[in-house]
Amino acid sequence: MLQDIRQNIQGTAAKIVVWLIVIAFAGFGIESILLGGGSSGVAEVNGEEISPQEVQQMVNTQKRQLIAMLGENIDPALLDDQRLSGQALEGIIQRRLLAQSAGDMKLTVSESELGRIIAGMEQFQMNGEFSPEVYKSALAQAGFTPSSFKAGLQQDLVINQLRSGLVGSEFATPAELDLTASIVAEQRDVRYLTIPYDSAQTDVQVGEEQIEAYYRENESDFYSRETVVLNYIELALEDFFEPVDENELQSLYEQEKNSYQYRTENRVSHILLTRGEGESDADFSARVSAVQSALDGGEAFAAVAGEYSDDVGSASAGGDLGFSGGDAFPEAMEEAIASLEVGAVSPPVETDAGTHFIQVTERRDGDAPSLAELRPELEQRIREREARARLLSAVEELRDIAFNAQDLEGPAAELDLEVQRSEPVARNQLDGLFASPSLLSAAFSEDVLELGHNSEVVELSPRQFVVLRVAEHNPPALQPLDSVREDIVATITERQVREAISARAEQAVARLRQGESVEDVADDLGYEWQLEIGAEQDAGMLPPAVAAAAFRLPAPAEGETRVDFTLTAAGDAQVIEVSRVSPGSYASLSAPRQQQLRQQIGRELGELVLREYQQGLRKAADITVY
Amino acid sequence: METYRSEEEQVEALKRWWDENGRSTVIGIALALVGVFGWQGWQEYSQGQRDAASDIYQQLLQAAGGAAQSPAQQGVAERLAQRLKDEYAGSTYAQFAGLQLARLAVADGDLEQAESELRAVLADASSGGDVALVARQRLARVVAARGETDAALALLDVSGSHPYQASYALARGDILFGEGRRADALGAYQLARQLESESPGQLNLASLERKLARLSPVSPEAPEPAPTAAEVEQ
Repeated sequence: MLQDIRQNIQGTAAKIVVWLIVIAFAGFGIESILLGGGSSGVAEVNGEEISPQEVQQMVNTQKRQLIAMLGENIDPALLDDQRLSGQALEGIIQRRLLAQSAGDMKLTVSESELGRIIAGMEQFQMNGEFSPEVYKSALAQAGFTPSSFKAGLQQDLVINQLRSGLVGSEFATPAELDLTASIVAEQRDVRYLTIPYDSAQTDVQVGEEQIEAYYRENESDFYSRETVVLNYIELALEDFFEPVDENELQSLYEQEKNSYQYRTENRVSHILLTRGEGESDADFSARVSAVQSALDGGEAFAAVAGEYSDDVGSASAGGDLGFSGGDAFPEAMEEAIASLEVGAVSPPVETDAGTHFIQVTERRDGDAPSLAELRPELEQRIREREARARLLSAVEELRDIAFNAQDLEGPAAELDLEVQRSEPVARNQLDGLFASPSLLSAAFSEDVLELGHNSEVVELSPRQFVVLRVAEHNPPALQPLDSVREDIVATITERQVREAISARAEQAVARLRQGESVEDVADDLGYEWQLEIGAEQDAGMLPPAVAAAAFRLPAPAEGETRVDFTLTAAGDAQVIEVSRVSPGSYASLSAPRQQQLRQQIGRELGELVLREYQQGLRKAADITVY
Repeated sequence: METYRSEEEQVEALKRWWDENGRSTVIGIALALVGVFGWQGWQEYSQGQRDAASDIYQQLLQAAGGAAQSPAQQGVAERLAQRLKDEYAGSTYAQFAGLQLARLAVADGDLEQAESELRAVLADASSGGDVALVARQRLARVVAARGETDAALALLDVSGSHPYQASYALARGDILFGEGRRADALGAYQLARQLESESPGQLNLASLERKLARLSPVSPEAPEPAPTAAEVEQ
């Protein structure tokens, strides 16, 4: 059989067929290479692949959001692809699971609904109507094709159906509303008295032994911060400024003076006579002289233009052509315009278009600033332009030399630069040159800190470059007692004051519990009670610490009171007496609060159900991450 | 392989074969065609049904979103949901519609209606499925709100493991607390919170925290005799 084929393919037709086959195979080969083919996913969810492109697209979206949120000066570590892609993949898996589950429930979105929703999206509209061009270009910008966008939207919509069906149908029953309201809207009559921190401060003495004991017991608190002292070379644009050459300044000034913004502009009208087809020389010159004599006879230029001009566009506007800065019209016209006085009419001017009579109707003199006025700006521009070139070449040289050098002095001497020394710099330095995240990460990199190499030349801005090297590394060290003594005294003092205050408060509480009257206790202490009748925990009537403590206490029996105290963050003690407690009632809440409560209960249960639903899907799923 | 001596014999053989098998071949091909086109038609039909149900459901969502503000929207939502239940019975959309109707009924204070909607969803949904489990939890809460605590607690007692333990515990806690069984309620709330904290991420469960705080005895700053059991049970 093969022999037959071999004999048959000698014919021309057979050859063509064979070549077609060859090309087809070659084509298919390329396609499968281009599209990746085979298994190249980064993860698999119940047999469905997640492609690297999908993850990358999500990462890019997140990056854009982060930059939009935190600005361009964002810490580069936050934009690390590795870190972001983990989160992105997690999010994609979650969505994929939901979409699969929606598919199992036979949830769908019809093509027509999809079309309606897309057509209703504002970002695809122009003048209030859906525009296919805007749609396509907006998608292309965001890296979607129409079909991938539709697929993504469809996924979003079915997931939304699922959520709203399962979770959005959550409610709060009357019993639940009553129960919750009875707690969150509970009212208590609260009396409180503040024993301020300052009142006990004078009583406290801190002894030397106490200080030493504290120092020994809490040694780990007294280590200094890890710092480095850096040698560095800073290249700044300003260092490369040189006096400006007067000739160069002059030529830049000339250039500037003639630039668009300072040019003289003329408003021009014209009368154009164009020789018609088949019009004889004599006829044409007769027309020209007719115009000439009309103008000479003192007729208004605009009227003549309206009557004779062949330039239909301008004739009705009295021949007006608008302003020219000297290059709007053919050269012959511009020359004539430049030499005309305002109001005067030129002799006939010939251009390709025909014969023109020209009048300048208005002249705006370009008020080019004098050299003296422009000098500071121009000097700065020239200085920076030249300095930038020198800066960049210095940076290049420094890069080469510093990379191989064992110190910074060598490169500095070679390039005639100066090595500077920093103050101690901590890992979380907040001020000065070295607060820059890129310099900190260079200074504390393994290469620089541990191996003792020069750093790269770091670009802080196009005007500023720094190369650095660690001169001293100060690991955390135990500081001597004397340098931390003050801190210790402050700490011990605070502790003792708090104890003293607590003791006083405790005493007051004990007296109240024994039945002494609130007035007596307050008089003895020298402070006054504050009283809030019917306080609610969230209503802001009580100081936060008092509210938290007063509502944490079990309710007192009818006619009795319950007494306790609490310490605020500032160290004050607050003695609290709770008397009447009345549970909240849903019916007596204001309408907005009722609604808020309904929503809160529904939302909490709904979120919990959604969470459990997703966890359930996750547990049942077969997920492989490659 | 047989060999035929002449063309006539071949024709003769074919005819014979056709007489024997012709009918069954034709029927076979016809059946296959009917099968293929029937299947395709069925697929198209059910996709069409799903699309139609989906369109109605999307409208329902829109109407239900505005139902709290306008009674007219609520009427629209109820009609659409009823239509889903009647015309697309057995679909997930019909079950979702039932859940939405239950929500609207609760908002109207019509617990009886809510109960019957939820019972219908529960009967319709595949048992042990997500919709059934969620409907069951809600049914229990509605039943409890109607005063039948024991029946409600029994509904929440589902044998076997399912993903909704935390929300079930939370519902049980609310029912028990409402009955004044504070110690049992505390146990249920604590279970709910513990289960919730086992999965990653944090949910804002402020009212659960408040109920827990109210039920948990705290020792006061100033030492006092330990609270008696009666005090804790208040």
